[in-house]
Amino acid sequence: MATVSFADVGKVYRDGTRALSEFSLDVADGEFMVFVGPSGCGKTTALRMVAGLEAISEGEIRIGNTVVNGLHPRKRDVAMVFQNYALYPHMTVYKNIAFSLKVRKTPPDDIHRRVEEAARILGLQDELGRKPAQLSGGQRQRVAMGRAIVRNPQVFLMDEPLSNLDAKLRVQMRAEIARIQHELGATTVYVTHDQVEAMTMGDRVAVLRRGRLQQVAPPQDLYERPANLFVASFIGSPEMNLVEAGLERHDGGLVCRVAGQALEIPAGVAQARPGLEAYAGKTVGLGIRPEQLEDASLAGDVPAGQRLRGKVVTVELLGSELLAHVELEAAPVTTQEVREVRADVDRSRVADLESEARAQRTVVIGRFGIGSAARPGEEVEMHVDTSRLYFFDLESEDAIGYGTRTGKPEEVAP
Amino acid sequence: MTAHRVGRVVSYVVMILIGVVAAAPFLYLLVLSFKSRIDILTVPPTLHFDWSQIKSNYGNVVHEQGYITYIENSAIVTGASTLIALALGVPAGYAFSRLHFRGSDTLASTILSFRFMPPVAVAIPIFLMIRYLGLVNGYLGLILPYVAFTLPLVVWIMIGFFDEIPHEIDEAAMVDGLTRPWVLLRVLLPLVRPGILVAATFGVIFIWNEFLVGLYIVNSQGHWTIPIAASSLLTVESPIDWNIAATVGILTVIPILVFSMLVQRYIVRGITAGAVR
Repeated sequence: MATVSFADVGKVYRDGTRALSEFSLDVADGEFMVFVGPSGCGKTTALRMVAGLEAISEGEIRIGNTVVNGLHPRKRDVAMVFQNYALYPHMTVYKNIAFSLKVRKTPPDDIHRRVEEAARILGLQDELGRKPAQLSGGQRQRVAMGRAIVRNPQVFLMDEPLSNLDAKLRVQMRAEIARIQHELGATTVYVTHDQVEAMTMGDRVAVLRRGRLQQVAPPQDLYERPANLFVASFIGSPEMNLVEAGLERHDGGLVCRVAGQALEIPAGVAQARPGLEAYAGKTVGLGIRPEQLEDASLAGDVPAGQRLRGKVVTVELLGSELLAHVELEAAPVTTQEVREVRADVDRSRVADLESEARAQRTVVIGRFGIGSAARPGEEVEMHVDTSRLYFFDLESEDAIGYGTRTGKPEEVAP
Repeated sequence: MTAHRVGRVVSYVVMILIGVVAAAPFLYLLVLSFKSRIDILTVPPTLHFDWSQIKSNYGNVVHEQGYITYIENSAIVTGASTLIALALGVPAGYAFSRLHFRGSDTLASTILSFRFMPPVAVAIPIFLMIRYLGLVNGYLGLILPYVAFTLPLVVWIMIGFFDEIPHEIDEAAMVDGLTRPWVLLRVLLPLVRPGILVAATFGVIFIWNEFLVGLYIVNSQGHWTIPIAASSLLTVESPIDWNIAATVGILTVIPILVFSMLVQRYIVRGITAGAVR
């Protein structure tokens, strides 16, 4: 196993399209690194450059101590799982898995032992004599995995390997891939556009946007300390609620004015975000995760500074909880980064955002306890967990107080 | 009878009619090749066959007229030309399908346009070139132009077949440890086998039947191919022996018929099923 490091890597295609810029990142030995981002963000390009399937236009990629820029894929000692599996259709499962070993002139006994071992790990023992056309989608996916693990390569590269499976199987294979990776202790670079996959599988997650690295961090850090509006709205499901709020000084502390109501910012929160003080008197982007909103009637004694009132639009009963869509009389955050994340889901969501902005209304989502009596059309009083509020500069789109965009300290927001 | 069965009967009748129309000339030829010179004028031909007459017709063509040699010549020229065209055209098709170099699309369509040129238009220049090279009256003098005629078709058929194979297969094979040429030989050739056979069939049929260019290039009887030999039956000196001409026709068709039937069994599509998704 080995490390993978990107040093100022860039990719420009022959037609002049730029897919990746100044990409710098170190993947540790044995680490499960996930590249995530909307389509066209450059994540697959970065992966293919490691594999040697895409020329490196700028910078340097190292696997272990070797600069691999000019090396043919076969000399890089990497294995890759493709989105569409790319199995050899005329070969049996056994031959598919054994192929790379055969090409490398491994002794036949050794090949047999290793293929059997890979088949055992993946539960493919009974399918070895079949051809890909006779297999189910999940089995083909496993064969593709088998082809990679049998090699025992320096690095595993996986390009959205689960995107062609149905939802239930995907959850199962997600756990399985994570288990196999852990078992083999293999350095892995995994590309996905599904933030849930990224959060559940990665030791660290690198978020990309338009060919630029936005943030690299362990999943929980990414969730709790997003570097900018893009990461904040991309990571999390349902996504973070983002509204415009006026920041004001009040009684020696800070308050946040949303929809005519004031949220008190606890002293600890303000201290943990140096620089927030400077925004007093300005409008900032306020981020509230759905789980930070609770029906106030379920929360007991809620001080006035932690309350928000709004009108319930829709309620989704999920059995264990209830997702309440509540309309606030405040403008949504409509910066470019937020639009992009919305557009990645569907273009219609950008139109929704624009109509909300015109009406100065924002629908926020709260995860309420199942006992909540909130029903569509009624007003609801919400308890806001103000200890974990997120603040963003609406100009630079960066998080206020901490977090960096590319890991370079000079780009920290003021 | 239900409408469904009526439909079946009608479709069978139509299919049989089509079959008869297609097969009739060939059957007529076969019958004629069994007849004596006088009998061939009987219309419709009787189905009374005389074994000694059959033997004499075929014996005459094979031994006296030397058709064994002509079939051999045709087989050598056709086989060699087709193999060379495949050896050049398959890698070319792969390259056009996968490597998008500057002007590759233009080049590919230019290659195909060469095929639109009728042999009549190019026969004389080809003859002059072959003569200049001193290859007149030899196999090579026929093989070179035939390769040139067949190659564009092979390239185009192969581009189509290679395009149907997902690029990821190549990439997977390269990551697995193969260079491009080996990817073609070890992974892709088995997958495009139907395409190779289709291209080979077109090539063989065209070359086997080619007459005009051959007529210019080959003068010595020892190097005649079947179409040229067959044309020599038409002479000003003597009336045409139609029964002998029919026998020649049968002997010309049989090798190509056998080849087509053998190859057809392997031309099955959908071999790439299961590669992706």
